[in-house]
Amino acid sequence: MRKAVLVLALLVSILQTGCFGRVEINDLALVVAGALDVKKHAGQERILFTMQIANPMALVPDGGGGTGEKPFWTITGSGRDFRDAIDDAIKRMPKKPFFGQTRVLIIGEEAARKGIAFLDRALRSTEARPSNWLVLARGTGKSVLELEMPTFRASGLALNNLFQIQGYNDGIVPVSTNEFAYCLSTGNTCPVMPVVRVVPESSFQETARLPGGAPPKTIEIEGLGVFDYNGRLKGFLNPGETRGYLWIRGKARRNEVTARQTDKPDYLTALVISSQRKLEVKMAPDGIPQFKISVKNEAYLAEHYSYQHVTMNAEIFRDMERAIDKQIEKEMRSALRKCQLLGCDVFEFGEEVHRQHPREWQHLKDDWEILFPQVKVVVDSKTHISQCGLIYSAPPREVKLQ
Amino acid sequence: MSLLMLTILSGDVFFMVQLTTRAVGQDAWITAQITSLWACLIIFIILGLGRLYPGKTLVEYIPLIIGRLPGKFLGMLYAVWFLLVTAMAVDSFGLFLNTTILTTTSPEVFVLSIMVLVFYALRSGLEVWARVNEILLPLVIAAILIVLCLALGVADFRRVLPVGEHSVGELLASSITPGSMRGLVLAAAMLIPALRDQKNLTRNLIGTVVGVGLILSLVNIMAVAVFGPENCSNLEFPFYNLARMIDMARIITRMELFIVLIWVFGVFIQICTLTYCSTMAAAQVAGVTKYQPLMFPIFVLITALATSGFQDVVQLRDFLESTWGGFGLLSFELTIPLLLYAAALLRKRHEVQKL
Repeated sequence: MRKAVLVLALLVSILQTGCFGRVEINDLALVVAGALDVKKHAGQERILFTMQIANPMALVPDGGGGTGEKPFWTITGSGRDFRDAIDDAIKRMPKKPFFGQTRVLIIGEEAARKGIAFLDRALRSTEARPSNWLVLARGTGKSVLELEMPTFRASGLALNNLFQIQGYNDGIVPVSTNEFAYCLSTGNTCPVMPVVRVVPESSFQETARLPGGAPPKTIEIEGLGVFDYNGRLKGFLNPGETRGYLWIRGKARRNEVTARQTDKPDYLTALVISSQRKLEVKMAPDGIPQFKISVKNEAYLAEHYSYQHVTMNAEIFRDMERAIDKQIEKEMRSALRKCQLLGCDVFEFGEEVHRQHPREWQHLKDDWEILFPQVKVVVDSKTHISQCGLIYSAPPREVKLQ
Repeated sequence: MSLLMLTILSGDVFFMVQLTTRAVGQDAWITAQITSLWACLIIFIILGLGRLYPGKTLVEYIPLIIGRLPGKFLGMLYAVWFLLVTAMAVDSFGLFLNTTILTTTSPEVFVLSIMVLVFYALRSGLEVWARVNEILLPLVIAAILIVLCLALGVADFRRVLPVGEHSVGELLASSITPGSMRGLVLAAAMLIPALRDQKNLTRNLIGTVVGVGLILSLVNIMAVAVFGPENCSNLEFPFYNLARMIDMARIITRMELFIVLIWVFGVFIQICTLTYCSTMAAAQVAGVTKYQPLMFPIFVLITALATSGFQDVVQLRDFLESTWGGFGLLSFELTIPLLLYAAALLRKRHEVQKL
């Protein structure tokens, strides 16, 4: 009897392999990226949510699905808020939207300026992840997602790859949903987002021209969008200022710095491979904190164009280091100036005061928004160029850049 | 005593991180250490009582201390208390799975399936699931440590600063609720007579609570380093979200199933221990020698309480935040045993004087 029950139980468990909320994978619409925009409709502001949905068959390079199928399709819904817009789109979707594979959420410029709420849904949903990237689009986010790129096809996946491979290199700052939410949660740190825009392809084959003769388009990440303490877009940082931001935050990984040597017309490029930041907060007698940022960099000499042929020696090396330091300090100062002008503390300075002077911070925290534009910051960079590649001095007879 | 480790670990790691960060922000890891002190106090009391009445469980020696009738009454209260705590654990088991991965499954399915499993385990006796625990405990601890290590990539430890921003009073106040969770070590008072290794009891028990305290501190530090104190206190399950943040080399991602594994294993042992305690307590109050006949009614009660207890997560969180401290540590776990111990000491001295 017991054995019979056991056998029966086993048999039943083999047959019952399904689960309650099961959906066949073919019936899922794998949303790889989403974009939020706003649109005026009948005097009312509506939120547009565009989904880029991957077609897994066509995403595989020269795989079985090479039947001219599109690599992705997009769909847009509009509504009063994020979720409402998704609901609207669902009415026109023959598949169930699935956000577990979403990698990127793009916010359109207009939507960011209005400061539309998106974090709640992005963090509350059990499908979307807090590690998803956030990107700010120049123009609309919709246009970024509708773009088919020659190299990577789906632009949402291309953005994800860009952040994972090039993150923190050359002024590319990946920002996750969690990071954005953290900055806002502190109440005294402004969040940032990398900026993406649609640009004409710089080089292409003649056959790749769009109908009408326009060059094909691609996406580019450049600069940062700065948000205020309430998550509204306030302004932009250019590439130089973005690198300054990376130095100040101590997040820079591989960044190339081009600088002019002192009292020589020579240009050089150093590849900074690691950067360490130290941030000291001193309380001035008047109660306003002062900051000292010291950056220590390790670099390789990547390029050196010299007008007179010089043999490399230790003195020139030190001179180069000074030139690089000056450039890095300049970038840091420009980032600081811009953010103080915008009145947005994107550097966690407020939090740093909290960490280093918790008692004084209690009196400062309510006025930090007013205080931040006035604080004095001293920047200092110390770069060490440790090697110069496979040649020592610049080749003698090369035509020099004028 | 590794049984108790899992019993207190799962509740601690899954529910206490967000509650303590809400109270004391980045200092939550200090609270986790203070909580160990409360638990050690409880251990000293129940061990002291155990020494005065060797071979007897909590419910058995209560009547010897305060008299037959009040003793029976207090023993019954303890049986009911264990029952309610078990129902809470069963309920939270379903709520966690419901909010995280199996969102469309009805909670009754979780409650019934875990209760059937626990019934099967308990019917076979204490030793059976104690042995199961020996397999599960290393797995759970390894899974926790793996998740913590993998999350290092997204952590920023400056967020744990400044250390000790909150006053001692605030820290003590914030340790009451987690103290109730850690105070489930009280279950040892029901288990001690059944243990083989009576010699190293003190060492083992204290090792258990301090070990849990260390793990909880690590989880606290990691959660704050990844999410920041304010953000972390707003999360439903910070530890689960921590696993969702993991992305290593684009291969090691989606580690949240580790978390579900930790949760299911941990709660299984927790429910086993607590159900055993409530059944034993009920049996001993009633004066029955074998607890098996009482199992079925107790299971029906627990299932009914668990399915009708908390209607939603807000109720559970409210209960944990405002009631659990008084319901656990401040009454049944620390205060009552302390009074019992004092009474027992007085009684023993009195008896010695009489002789």
